[in-house]
Amino acid sequence: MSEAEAVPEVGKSGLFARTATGLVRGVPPRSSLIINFIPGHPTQTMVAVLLFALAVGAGGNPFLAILIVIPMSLAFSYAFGLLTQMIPRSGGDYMLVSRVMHPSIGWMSVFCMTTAGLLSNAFFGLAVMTAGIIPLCVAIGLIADWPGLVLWAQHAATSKGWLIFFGLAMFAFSGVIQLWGWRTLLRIQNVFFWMVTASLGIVTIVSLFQSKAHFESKFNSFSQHFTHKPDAYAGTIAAAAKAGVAVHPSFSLTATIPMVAVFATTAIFSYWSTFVGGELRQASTMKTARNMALGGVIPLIIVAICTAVFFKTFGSDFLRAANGGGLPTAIQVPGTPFFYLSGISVGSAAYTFVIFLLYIVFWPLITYISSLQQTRAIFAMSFDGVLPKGVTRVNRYGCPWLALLIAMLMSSVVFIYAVFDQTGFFIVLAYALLVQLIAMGLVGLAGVLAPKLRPDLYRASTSQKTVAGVPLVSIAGIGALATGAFVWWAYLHYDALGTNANIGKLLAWTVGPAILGFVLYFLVAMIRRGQGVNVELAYREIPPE
Amino acid sequence: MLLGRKQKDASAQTSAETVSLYYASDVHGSERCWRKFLGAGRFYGVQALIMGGDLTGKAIVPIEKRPDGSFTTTFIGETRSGTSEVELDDLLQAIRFNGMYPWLAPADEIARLRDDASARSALLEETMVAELQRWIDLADERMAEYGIDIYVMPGNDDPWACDAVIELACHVQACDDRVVRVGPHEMISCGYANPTPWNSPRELDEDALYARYRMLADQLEDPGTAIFNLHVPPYDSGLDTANEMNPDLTLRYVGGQPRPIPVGSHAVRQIIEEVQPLLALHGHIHESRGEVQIGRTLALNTGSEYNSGHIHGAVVTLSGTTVRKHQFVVG
Repeated sequence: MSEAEAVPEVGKSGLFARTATGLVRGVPPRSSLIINFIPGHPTQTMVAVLLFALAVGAGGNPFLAILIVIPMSLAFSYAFGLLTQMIPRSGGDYMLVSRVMHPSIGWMSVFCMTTAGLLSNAFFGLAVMTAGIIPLCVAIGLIADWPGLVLWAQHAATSKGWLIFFGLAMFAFSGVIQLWGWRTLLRIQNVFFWMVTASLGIVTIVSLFQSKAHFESKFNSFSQHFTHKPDAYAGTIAAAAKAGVAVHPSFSLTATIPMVAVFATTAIFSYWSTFVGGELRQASTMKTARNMALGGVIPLIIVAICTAVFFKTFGSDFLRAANGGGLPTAIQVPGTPFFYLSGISVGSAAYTFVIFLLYIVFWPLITYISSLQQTRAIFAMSFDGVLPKGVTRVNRYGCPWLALLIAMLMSSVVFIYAVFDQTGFFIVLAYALLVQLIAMGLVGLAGVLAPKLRPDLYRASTSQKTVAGVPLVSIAGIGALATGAFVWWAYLHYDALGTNANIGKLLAWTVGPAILGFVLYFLVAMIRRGQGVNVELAYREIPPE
Repeated sequence: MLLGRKQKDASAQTSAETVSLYYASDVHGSERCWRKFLGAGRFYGVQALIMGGDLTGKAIVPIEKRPDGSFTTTFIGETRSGTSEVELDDLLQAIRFNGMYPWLAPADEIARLRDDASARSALLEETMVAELQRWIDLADERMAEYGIDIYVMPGNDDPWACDAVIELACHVQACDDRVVRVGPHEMISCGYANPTPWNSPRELDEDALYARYRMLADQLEDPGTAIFNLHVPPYDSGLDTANEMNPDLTLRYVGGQPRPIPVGSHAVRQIIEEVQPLLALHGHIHESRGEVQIGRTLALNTGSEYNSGHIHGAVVTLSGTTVRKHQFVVG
């Protein structure tokens, strides 16, 4: 009984199918597209990445950088997507790498991916306050002229207690919404997704129909109340220029390269549905890879459009200056988020508040998406016999609650560490990216090798596409490896990205998990052998007669 | 488990091994899984192979063959065409790999069958039996050569015509609805299931199912060391969780969401609780792979992943009145 395979009713899709037991999988293609879209959601890029990219790549062209990131994103989408079509099981990188290469490599991968997930969750825990609640309170306090709110936000920004409180509250919320199973979760996911998308969409459309002159006028009028100066817009640009910020940089291809690395930090993860590969409808079809590809390309196009609109309305020089510390102290808002500038331009605290409410749900949404990796990997490892069977317990709605609880507790520990260690906001994300790239690179390697190592699986799948005679999955794998190597190089090369300041810490968070996973695999195998169980047999493919 | 409980019978490792076996179920027409099942004997070094039912596939993929030798079909959502024998062979292998049966025919013949349910049904049965015969012949030949015992029974999804193919095998032992010996252990087997929404060929209501099991169990000389090879898992055991269905084969939503429910058999649970065999082997619910202790009986559901070419199974070593060790494997 059950299992989800492509056996439709009689006559459909050309098959002659008999009435036999079967079951529909839970996640439809549209929802899987959204799952893939969310990790690279343009709202996140516009809030947490765009201005940083402009700062580290003075003279770089953000549009060219985005264009370069698109094939990088596609390489990962197709490597993951085509492998998932071949092995449509939940477990993501662990399942793909261990089944194509060797379980010890799978362990390396899953340790890296899990560490990345925990670091990402820590980043999201920091971001909900640093890039969410604090700037919102300051922005609303300033626009509505509520100094008390501004003071509280400024206090909260320096308070570890508030940071931890809101971060943990968000983790709890992200965990709780998963307890009612896929149906409810997908509804919540879709509502949150459209809320977040609406926040960026409304701001972009409003900005599109506002002129730069209008924004200048509104900004000057708004800031005069605090600064008592008539032209704060020009003053912001002048102050930043005086402080050494390149507000009118001439184009530089060299400066575009670090920008590419920064955009890649949030834009090359459109493969998240691989972690629920066993729960996807039509997982064996090309829809899986195509949804991953679309989920990666569409956000980048939206980011380019939004950037163009914001440059037009707010001015690229002003955005560089504001992010570079040029704003008058009295009206500075951490990160200068787009909803703040749009709020000033519209001149309404209510408008700013609505935009914020729509936007803030992004953080629990991305935290839930991120936790899919950890829970499904724990689940898959338990089925393979290397973790206790008990962690596969599911509640009546099919939610692996114990694995989820473990994932959320581990995330909380890493988050609290990041708060007390005072690891920089962006550095946490960069570490997450770099360790994740090791796992993603291993999946790329699995893609390169799959047609050779698993020829039967490859030939029987819909992943059997070639370009000039070379398997597409191998081309995607090579692209994934090259992309990973490039981003690693960029983060080690450019001081402005901040990750090369402490190489020991960087390696501990990135290469460390890979080594740990590899060593632990053999340790586990040795212990289990002593118990009379050969763990290697759990994975080794039986030679068919 | 490494990080869980130690096996209760770790101290028994020195006791004499009575039989080691490999169990798998629900290959559903996947030739690759069947060949891996046959390969498992030597690979895991076991003495016996047990196949727990649902051998046959669920669909035929009609391939339109043209007079010029070219062909075309729709398979896993894609049109696949070709002109060479190599391309055709690749397609046939891919179809079999995914647990379906290829059928080459001219366009008008395919169109005729598309409109004729009884002809289509006959073709399906004829194809399933022919393919199963090929499988059984292969098993007879290889397992006799290796000296490995092999036990096969049909499951609830297998048509009745399969029985004769298994019964007439030389080395393969048909085990459905009887007591056989696996090493020194007696084993009873039953491929029937409790009623499913699909109304598959071998279904019985719970009372009839229990009567069947009871009749078999009553023939056991030493129930405490016996193996129960029952296709359907025990009710509410954690080995039988699936989403609830409507009679029209759509998912049933409760409060707007699909509802995972236990769909196993009360009769299976009752007979295990009453007889307390040493080991109970189950399949049927593919995504409910796992193990559970029911009294002194270790019950396993190995699940199935047949359409990915991986066979899910369990290697079990029995030692007198205890299960010395067991391990889930994906081959």
